[in-house]
Amino acid sequence: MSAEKNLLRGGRRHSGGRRLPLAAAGFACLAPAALVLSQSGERPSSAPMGAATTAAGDASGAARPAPRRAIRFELASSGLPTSGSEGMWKSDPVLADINGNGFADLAALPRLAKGARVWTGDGEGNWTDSSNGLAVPRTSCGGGLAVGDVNGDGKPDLVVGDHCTGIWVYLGDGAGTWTEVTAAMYPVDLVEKPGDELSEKLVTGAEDIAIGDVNGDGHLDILSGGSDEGGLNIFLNDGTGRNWTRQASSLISRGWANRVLLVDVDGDGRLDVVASHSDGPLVYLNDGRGDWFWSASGLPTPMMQGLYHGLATGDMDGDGKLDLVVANWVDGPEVYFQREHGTWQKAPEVFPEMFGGAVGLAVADVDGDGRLDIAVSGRLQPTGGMVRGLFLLLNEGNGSWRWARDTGLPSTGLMQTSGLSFGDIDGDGVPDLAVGSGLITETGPPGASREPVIAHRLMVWRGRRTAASEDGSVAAPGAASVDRGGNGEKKQ
Amino acid sequence: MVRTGTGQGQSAVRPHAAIVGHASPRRPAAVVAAVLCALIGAGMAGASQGQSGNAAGAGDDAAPPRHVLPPLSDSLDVPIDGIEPEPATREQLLVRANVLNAARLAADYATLWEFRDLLTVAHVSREEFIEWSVENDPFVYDVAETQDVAVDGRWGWVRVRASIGMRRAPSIPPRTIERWERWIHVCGRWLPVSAKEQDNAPQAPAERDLALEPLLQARYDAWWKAVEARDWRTLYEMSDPLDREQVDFETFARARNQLTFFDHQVLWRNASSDSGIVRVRYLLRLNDPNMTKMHPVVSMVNERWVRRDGQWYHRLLGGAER
Repeated sequence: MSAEKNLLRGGRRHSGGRRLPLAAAGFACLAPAALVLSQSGERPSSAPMGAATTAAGDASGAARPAPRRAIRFELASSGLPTSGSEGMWKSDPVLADINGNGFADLAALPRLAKGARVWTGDGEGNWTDSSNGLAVPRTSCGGGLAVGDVNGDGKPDLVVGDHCTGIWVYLGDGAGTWTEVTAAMYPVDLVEKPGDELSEKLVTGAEDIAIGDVNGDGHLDILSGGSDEGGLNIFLNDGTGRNWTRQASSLISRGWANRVLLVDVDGDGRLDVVASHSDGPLVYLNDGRGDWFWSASGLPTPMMQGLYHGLATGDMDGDGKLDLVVANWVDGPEVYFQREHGTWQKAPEVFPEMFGGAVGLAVADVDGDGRLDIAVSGRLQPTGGMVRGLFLLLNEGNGSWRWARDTGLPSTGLMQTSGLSFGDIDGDGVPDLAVGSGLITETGPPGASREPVIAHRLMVWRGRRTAASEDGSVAAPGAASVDRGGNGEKKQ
Repeated sequence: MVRTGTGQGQSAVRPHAAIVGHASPRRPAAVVAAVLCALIGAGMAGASQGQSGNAAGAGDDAAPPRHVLPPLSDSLDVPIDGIEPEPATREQLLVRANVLNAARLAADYATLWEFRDLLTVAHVSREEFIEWSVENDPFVYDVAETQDVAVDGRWGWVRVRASIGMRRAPSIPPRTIERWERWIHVCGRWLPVSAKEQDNAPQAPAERDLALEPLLQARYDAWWKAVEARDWRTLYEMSDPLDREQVDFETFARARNQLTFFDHQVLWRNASSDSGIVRVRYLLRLNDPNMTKMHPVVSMVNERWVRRDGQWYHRLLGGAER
């Protein structure tokens, strides 16, 4: 499989259409390093940050990874919300260059507030509100966002999936002003009893959305995951970003999806559907004729609905096939390798130290060794209080991951977290991490702090590679505390 | 399938008693109890550190982990695990019942506030309750008399005769009722069982067939032994024959295999005519390979039984009594 082809695989959300011209990739949520390796003139929509090295390595047949670098994260959230009415950031934040200045900007959707927000970044971790036109008359409930050019004018637009009110589309002028062109869209024809409020409510919400060109007409379409019983739906774009037609398809039409992605799972050049559906992770392959077929053999079907939340894809084992990473609300992150004939095989436990479950999840090559690492939000123990944390799991290259403890990310002390996304806010090629937090958090034991250790509810952590680390450890300079295995043992 | 939520989702959150214990971990039981009792200005006797689902002997080097129930909890699904039953007398209940009935007659909402259930007290302030009641209380009591009182451990029952009218429909004649009201002794005082918790408290002894209850208890004990032995065939045969007509053994066994029961505690039993309820606290876990890290959780269950031809059978299906 070619490097170019490999780049088209994997990755996180906000996956724009592959057939967009590279110029449009300026606002893609991808690292510059990944963009450089795209030689196809197509937007490498689904490549995880840092996947370029992996792809190049595969293509050349070089199995030896690049040297691992120690990684440190520092808070870079000046100007982002700390509390107040917009203190509950229930979405995977999006890092993308919206104003075309070369630095990633930030978009996120709050719960119990007035709609999506956008901040422009200066590359130094300072953020300026740029949300003119995004306020909604009704309360937003959190959900998902995507940035892409839905009307073909070369300027990034914003698509919002709201848990309560459905799908909203805003055309951007590239200068921070947004024009609403689609409001509260939902799969109307799924309403069992039209006119019945309860029946309509079951399908009006969108828990998450992704955008991409699913039918090859050059326009970005929308994949939405319902927030209750709406299932998975594709809305086809006529190229204006204003008119959307729900595609009649074989996608599951019931349940909800905590996350959805459009990525090329099978490498046929067509975007496929991946979802953490309420029934469990699901994959549907695009048949190229306007329909989808189920391809989730080997993926879990839990007894508990809604068990899986965060979702990412990438070639996690370097075999050239796209793999799946999902956040299990009880057991923590899980990796499923894609095997022959589109079947999936669960990797050995990825994060044995985590007993409190995972919610948000993102993948990128953080330490620069050419392998995809995993960032997770969740908690180590199932206790109440300010116990959520952020965790970086480094890819060991043998189908296993290891928790890097000394990265500067808080392993506890946060409010309930929601989503994660990698991006590059300063153009240094090192993945930075955006985190949505501030959701209602259970009361902790007596004496426990009632305030999170980080005041910001929506936060960005800037990654720095600090030093070469030949033995593969990721200890920060001067602090050689490294977890050597899955048993939590610390070796000095 | 049990449904969990979407984080802060609204409509999509569908917790299950057996699940939320892990997914939304309960606060330490004694802490909750102390807070709730403090809200009604009462002390808390016998509060212990019962933590749902903790493996006993976690700190022991050699002891293998064994999952046991935490100490006796209140049985009203109020999260006050750890409150032990306290000595309570019939006389104390009589005094409280008379105070309540006098307050009903006088529409004395400040006093009525003292008889609210713990969860109401936890979520609504005294002032809010009084303000709301003054404006919205739908009932007017013309008569409210205590006629009899019974006590069994932490449970109490008060026979009340009342004449109740509709405040906003004075033309409708008041309705006279006589009924046993259920009470529980908690946080050092007697409180009426709230309307939504009626099913979680036993009926008054005068309403039950007490002679049938030992047979019901024995039948439940045999049933539990089969649960422990994972003897699904025996369990199936102890199920209501009418239910078995609708649920085949394979379906039954598949459902039973989804849960592992570690411990149980019968809180009360209630036989009335041919219907029986055994209220049980279980410590259980879902057998889902996708939730290997889930701790066992405490689940309160009203096991329903039906008596046919002199034998008690376990009900598989809900719905009206047949």
